[in-house]
Amino acid sequence: MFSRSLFAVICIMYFLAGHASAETVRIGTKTAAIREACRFLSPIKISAQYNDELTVVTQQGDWYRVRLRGTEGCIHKSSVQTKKVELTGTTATDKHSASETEVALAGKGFTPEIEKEYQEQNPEVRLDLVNKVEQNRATPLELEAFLMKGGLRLPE
Amino acid sequence: MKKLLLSVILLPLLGGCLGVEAVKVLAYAPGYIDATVTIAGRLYQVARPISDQEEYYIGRAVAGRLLATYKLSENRKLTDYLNLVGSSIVLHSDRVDTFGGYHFALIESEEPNAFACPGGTIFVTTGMVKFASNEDQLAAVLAHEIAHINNFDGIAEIKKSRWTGLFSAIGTSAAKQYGPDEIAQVAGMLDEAVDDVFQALVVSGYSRDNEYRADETALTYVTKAGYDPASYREFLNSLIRSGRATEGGIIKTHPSTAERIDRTREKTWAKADPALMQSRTDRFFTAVK
Repeated sequence: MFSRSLFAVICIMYFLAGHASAETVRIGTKTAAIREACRFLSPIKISAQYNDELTVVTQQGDWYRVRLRGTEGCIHKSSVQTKKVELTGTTATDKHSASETEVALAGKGFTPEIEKEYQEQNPEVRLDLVNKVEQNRATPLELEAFLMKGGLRLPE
Repeated sequence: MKKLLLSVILLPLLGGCLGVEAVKVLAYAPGYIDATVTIAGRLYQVARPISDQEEYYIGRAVAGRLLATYKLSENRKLTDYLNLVGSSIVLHSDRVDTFGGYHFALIESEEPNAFACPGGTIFVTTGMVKFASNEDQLAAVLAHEIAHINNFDGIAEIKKSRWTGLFSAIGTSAAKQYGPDEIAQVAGMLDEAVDDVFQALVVSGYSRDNEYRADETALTYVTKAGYDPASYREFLNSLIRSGRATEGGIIKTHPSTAERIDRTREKTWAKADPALMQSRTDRFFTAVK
């Protein structure tokens, strides 16, 4: 009885320790592909959205093996946020307000609502055409065939 | 380096004068934005990398201004081809993913030129495509523009005073959302930042050092991708021969194209397989027909 309880306590502690120390990263791009294997053009298992939080399972070179909503896969480091604001010049007593300021400085900046206002102030700027240009992209299948036919390389 | 030295000297003095403790020198790196701002009566030294989202919105506005000047080409076949060549290079770049991704588009102009908007949108003129002799030369042009984005050269053109204004505006209120007055104020700052980038892109050009660095970075990308690195030099040479090497954009006067060729000569790169290069040249002509 005692050993069962001890085993249960140890299991719970391991579980909690695992969760407490689990490294997470957030998506830094509008959308990002979580792929089956840690290489470009590998099939996509699930798509993540900006600011989604992923649990890091392991890191392999430039790739993270991550978990999102129960699905495990690979994501390249350039799709995740690794940046934070550095703010100096604060005293120990300012810590609370500094923390709020840091949040504001890190979280705001140029955003969709700023762009909307910018467009109203500058109606000649052709953001409508920029939206059209942003539809231009090569699909993974097209790109793979293009690389092969041209004798071009995928990153190692 | 000058900026770093100035910070070392000035920041402790500023801190001492204004009663600010623990002032330290922050690291500077490409894409880093920094400013000394006063928030709620206290002096702060703020430094952070520009966020991918900020870079994206600046880039979109720069692209929108370019498209107010140049006509967007409707040539679907050539646009798709540009995106395939460009994406082949992006895979070997330092930033494979940006906030909105990379997009390549063709604009109508006889002047051979190309423009990189921060965040990943790249425009190539119809004149530039005509000027290139093969896919490897076109890849060299695109690699040069991708290098400017990866090196944050456009962002570096934004005057420091814009960031000071932005940080002061957004740091004043701790709220995560903007108030109506802040929106108008920050939109005005976006306009000023866009103007700084646009001026560098279209009018004044990047510095000599930035152009050299973009050449060097681009050569690495094309080589890793499997394109012929010698095509980069051939392309610059043909610009000189054509007498068009003194115009704006990628072929701007400083640094002189001849100097850039000398620089690219300094490194020896592996030669591409001629048979594969020919097959790429064939599909280039199919796309540009």
